[in-house]
Amino acid sequence: MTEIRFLHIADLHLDSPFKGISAIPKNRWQNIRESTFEAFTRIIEYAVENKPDFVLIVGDIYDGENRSLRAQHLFQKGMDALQTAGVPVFICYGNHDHLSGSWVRFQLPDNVYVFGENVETKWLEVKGKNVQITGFSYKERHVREAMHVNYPQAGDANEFHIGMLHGSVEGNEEHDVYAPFRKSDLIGKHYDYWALGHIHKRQVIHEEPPIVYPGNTQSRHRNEKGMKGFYDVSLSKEHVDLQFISSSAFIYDELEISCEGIVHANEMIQLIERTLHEFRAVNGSAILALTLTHISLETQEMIQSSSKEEWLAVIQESLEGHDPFIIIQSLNMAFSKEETREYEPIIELLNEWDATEWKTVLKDLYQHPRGSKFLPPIDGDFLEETIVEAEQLLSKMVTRKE
Amino acid sequence: MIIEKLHIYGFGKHENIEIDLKAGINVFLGENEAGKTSIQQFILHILFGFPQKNAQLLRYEPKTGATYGGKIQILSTDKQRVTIERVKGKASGDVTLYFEDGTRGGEAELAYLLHSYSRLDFEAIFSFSLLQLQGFEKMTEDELTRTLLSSGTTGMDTLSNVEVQFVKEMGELFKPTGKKPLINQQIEELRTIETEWKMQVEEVNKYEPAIKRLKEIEILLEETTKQENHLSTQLQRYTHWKQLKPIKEKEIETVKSLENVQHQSFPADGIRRFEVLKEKETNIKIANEQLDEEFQSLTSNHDILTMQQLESLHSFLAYETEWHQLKAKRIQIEEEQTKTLQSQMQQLALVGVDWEKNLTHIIEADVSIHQEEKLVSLLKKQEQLDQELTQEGRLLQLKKEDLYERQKRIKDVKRSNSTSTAKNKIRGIEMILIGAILIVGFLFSFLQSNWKIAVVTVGICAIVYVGLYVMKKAMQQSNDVQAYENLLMKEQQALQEQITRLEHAMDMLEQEKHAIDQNFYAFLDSYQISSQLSSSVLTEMFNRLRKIQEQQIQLDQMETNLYEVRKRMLELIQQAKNMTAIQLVEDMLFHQLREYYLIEKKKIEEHAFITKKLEMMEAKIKENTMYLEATVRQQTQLLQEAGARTENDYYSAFNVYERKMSLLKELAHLQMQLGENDMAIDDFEEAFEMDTKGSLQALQNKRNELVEERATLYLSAKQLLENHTQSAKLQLLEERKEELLQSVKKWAAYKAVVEAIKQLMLQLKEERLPEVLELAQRYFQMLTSNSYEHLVLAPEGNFEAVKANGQRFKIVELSQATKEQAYISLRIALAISLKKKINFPIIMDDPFVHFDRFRLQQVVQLMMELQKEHQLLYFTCHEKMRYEWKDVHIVEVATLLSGSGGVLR
Repeated sequence: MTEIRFLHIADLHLDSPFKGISAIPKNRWQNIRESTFEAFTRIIEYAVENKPDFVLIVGDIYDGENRSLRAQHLFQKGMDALQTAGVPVFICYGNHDHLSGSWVRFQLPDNVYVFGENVETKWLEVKGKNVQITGFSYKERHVREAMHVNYPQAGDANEFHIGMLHGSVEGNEEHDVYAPFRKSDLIGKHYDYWALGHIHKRQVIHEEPPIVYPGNTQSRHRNEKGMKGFYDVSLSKEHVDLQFISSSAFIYDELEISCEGIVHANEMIQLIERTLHEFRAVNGSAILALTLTHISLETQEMIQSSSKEEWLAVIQESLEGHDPFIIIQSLNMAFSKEETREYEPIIELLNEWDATEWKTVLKDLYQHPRGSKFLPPIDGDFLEETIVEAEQLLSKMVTRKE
Repeated sequence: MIIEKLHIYGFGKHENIEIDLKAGINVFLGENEAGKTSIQQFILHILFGFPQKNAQLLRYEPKTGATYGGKIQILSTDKQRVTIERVKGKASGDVTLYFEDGTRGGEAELAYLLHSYSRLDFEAIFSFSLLQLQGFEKMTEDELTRTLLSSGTTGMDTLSNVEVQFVKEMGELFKPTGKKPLINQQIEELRTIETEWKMQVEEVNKYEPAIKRLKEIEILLEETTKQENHLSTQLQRYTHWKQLKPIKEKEIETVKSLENVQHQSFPADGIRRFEVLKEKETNIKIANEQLDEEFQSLTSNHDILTMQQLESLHSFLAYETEWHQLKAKRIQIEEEQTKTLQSQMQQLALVGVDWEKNLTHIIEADVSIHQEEKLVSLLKKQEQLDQELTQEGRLLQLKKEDLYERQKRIKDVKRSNSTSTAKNKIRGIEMILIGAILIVGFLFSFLQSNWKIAVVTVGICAIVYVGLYVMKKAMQQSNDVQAYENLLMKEQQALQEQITRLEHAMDMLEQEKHAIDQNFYAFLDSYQISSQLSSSVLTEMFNRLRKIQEQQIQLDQMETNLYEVRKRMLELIQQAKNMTAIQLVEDMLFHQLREYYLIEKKKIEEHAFITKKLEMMEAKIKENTMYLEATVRQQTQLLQEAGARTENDYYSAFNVYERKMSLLKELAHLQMQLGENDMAIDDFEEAFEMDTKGSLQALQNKRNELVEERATLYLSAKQLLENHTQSAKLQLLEERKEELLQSVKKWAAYKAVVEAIKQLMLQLKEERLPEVLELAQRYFQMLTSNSYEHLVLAPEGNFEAVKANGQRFKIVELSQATKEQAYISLRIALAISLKKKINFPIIMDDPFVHFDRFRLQQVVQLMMELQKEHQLLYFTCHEKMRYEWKDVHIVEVATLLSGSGGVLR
């Protein structure tokens, strides 16, 4: 039973910023900014150490057309390292690093096989077995055709057939739809493994044969929660073993802390510290959105004697100097809603508004010519958050009045 | 809901008090400080909780240490009797509800009882005082409207504040045209960062050209180096060439110079040899010259006398005796001559002849006796004449004296006549004199400015005239003497004639004498004798002259003798001179001759010796001459050998030869220096060095530039590769975007709330307002006894009161009391409008103090109506109010006794 081993990596998005957080402590700036590189470095180290038969990188190595030189330079170095280690690499470019961008092209070492804009099949021999790898690179930003139709059917059952496809399942509404496919389309090709890319959330769409999104290698947005990394795949005709390897330099996550029985401030600080310490021990560095729950009236009184910013500063302070680091990005307090009566009609009203109504309400800002492009889209998330904000503001107002 | 009983454990100043209340109107009466407000607050505190410790409201905790809190017994809307107890516990106090069925409850049950009303809600509707009205006045109409509208709805009183507050907050966050608000600033910052980021992205575009250029530079550098090497080699060759060039030039020059002197030959050791010969020649010449000179001297200096000459000389010497005799004779004659001359001189001197001049005449003069006699006769005649003259002179003298006598007489006669004759003359004088005196006088007076002088002058004139007149008279008297006078005159004429004759005779004598004198002088003159000599000596002198003439003859004789002697002497001298070649002196003549003779004799003897010597010298000279010739020949040969014609040529030739030799030597040296180097003088141009160095420098410069550019490019490329800025900017951009999102969310929240409040208001306005307004208007009519008919909302949204006659007033335009009535109408209307749902007791804090009696009655009437539906708690400090109410429960606050728990009426 021949078993081949390869790494399935996608969506490196090298040198892309971490989005959706503000007020990063200065001393952590570097960590945040370098995170995609650090993840990449970890991958290369892993590959060099474990020497898989080959490596697949399924698109979006770089983030956007304005890829930085440094990103390419470091990528090149990484590839060089793999060459030294004797690991072949198969690359297809995705929508973020399509072929028609006008950037400097770095000479990649010859262990790297890059797919062109048309679907093609490359092959290599592993342990006497022929491995056929089919894929394509995005020739432009938007590839909306169903590229899978150009993938050949798997022929010789003795050979391994692997499909590299950067795209998303038809009808997926969360992401822009690129090179759309249906699960059945892929299954129909009778490949041994479908290495997918594009979707940042790690998921195994289908087990037999495996159709897999490894997710991106590093969280880059507060929407991208949890551990990020890639798959170390051991594949035989009979069996597949997917081993997830974390490459995150840090993770983004949300954490709830129950404040039950907490009366004094120091107790609370200790509780939070302890919880975060445990979290760190498990997950390493992280940016966290903290929510305090089960707040009794007494606790609330204690908590409200200081502002949220003060609390945040105190917690942040207690975290400083630790590595792996933890940054508390936000602190939410789930107070019991006692006195909702007064503004309840308002909140009810806000919830009743539809998108059009919201747009009208917010037009002052959204029609601002200079700023509009920086503004967040008026979508469900935004409105939800806005309503929460409104509730908090109102609550504060009422509290203040008394 | 009706409050039946209050039991204060400890609250403010109250301790352990129980107060029973009734349905309907309860009036709390008390002075200031009596504790009315404490009771009011007690009710609110127990129902709605103690204020938070940090809240603005007073907690009224008793200072005495009594238990904070108390209980209230109520009869709920659904007729349930409940006791609410609140005591100190957590911040808002621990609340316990005691129901009739014995069950207990907490906050939740209480909230239910209170329809979830908050204290604020309650106060907004069921508690009113003039305190609120004060703000009411200050409020804008719009706010008033809002307050009235929102009051008692759903905490809208607060919300209208919230709206205002939020609009303000929004303004701080964002203004469409603002710069300062946070979001505006954030947007600007984002724009800046984005621009910077884009610039960074642009930077990346430099990378590829930089890499390309780097490759180009490598190639260019290689080329440059090659060129440089080539030029360096060339330059090296050039430097070598340049070093050798002067040598080469010299070589060429030397060869050229050599060509000119190549032909020149020269006898070996020529100069020395020539010079030896030359010296010899000179020596011989000098020797010969000396010989010649000697020879000459020997030959020319000795022209000797012949033997004959010598002989004749010897014989001439025999005249020596004669010579001496002659000499002696001459001396003798000369001495005599001198003596005679001296004597003659004496004679001449005696004669007084200037002998020097007149000697010749004297000698020639005729001193014969005849002559002597002639002289004597002359002298005699002269003497005679002198005597006659003297005689005649004496006669003449006499006659003259006679004449004088006569003349004198005539003169006397004439004197008388002469005055008259002079008369006319005098008259003329007279006039002149007078005129003169006058003029002088006047002048004087004028000069002196004195008229007196003028007067005096006139006086003087008169006197003169008179004087002269007298004189004239006198002259006229002499006419009678005239005759006498004529006689005298005749005599005188005769005398005169005699004198004339005498004088004439004398003249004749004189002339004669003169003639004699003339002869005499001529005679003397012919002898050169001074005529002054007296005639007496003349004879003597004549003798002398004769002597002189004798001496002269002697002298002449001596002269002749002397001449003879001298002549002979001269003859001898001449002879001697002829014989001798020496200068002869007369006195030493023979002495010299003798010497001369001896010398000459000796000479002749020497001559024989010299002649022999001369012969020898001649032989020597001849020998020398031959030797000289040989030398000259040898010289000529040397000259020939050197190809020279003259001695100068010879020396030049030597120089040339020497130059040739040195040139040859130099050439050899130069060629040795040049060695094997094959070089031509024109291998390089002079400009080559400059050009090459220039080119080299240019190349070096170029290379430096390239190297520098390469370094710069390399560095910038490297920097680009390692540039964090781009991603840093991007990260910053994202961070700022997130910050913006937070702000936007906040702004959106504010904005949404404001919008929602507006919508709610609108809703209220449309649904509930008409109902409340209707009620309020009814109360307002009632309170104002129908002087106002309407309380309406104007289209702009504010209230207006309309009088019966249709006049409209804005709230601010109303009188204080009317304004209060409007307010109370609205508040009561609001409370009533809620009665169906909620009928809390209404708490009033003296709101009617400003009402006049009539209005008070109106309001009391209204209250009486109201009390049917609501319990009224009326707090007042005005005693009179007690009488305004009929059948009301009055609580005298001041008389409440602590601890009594008793009920007072």
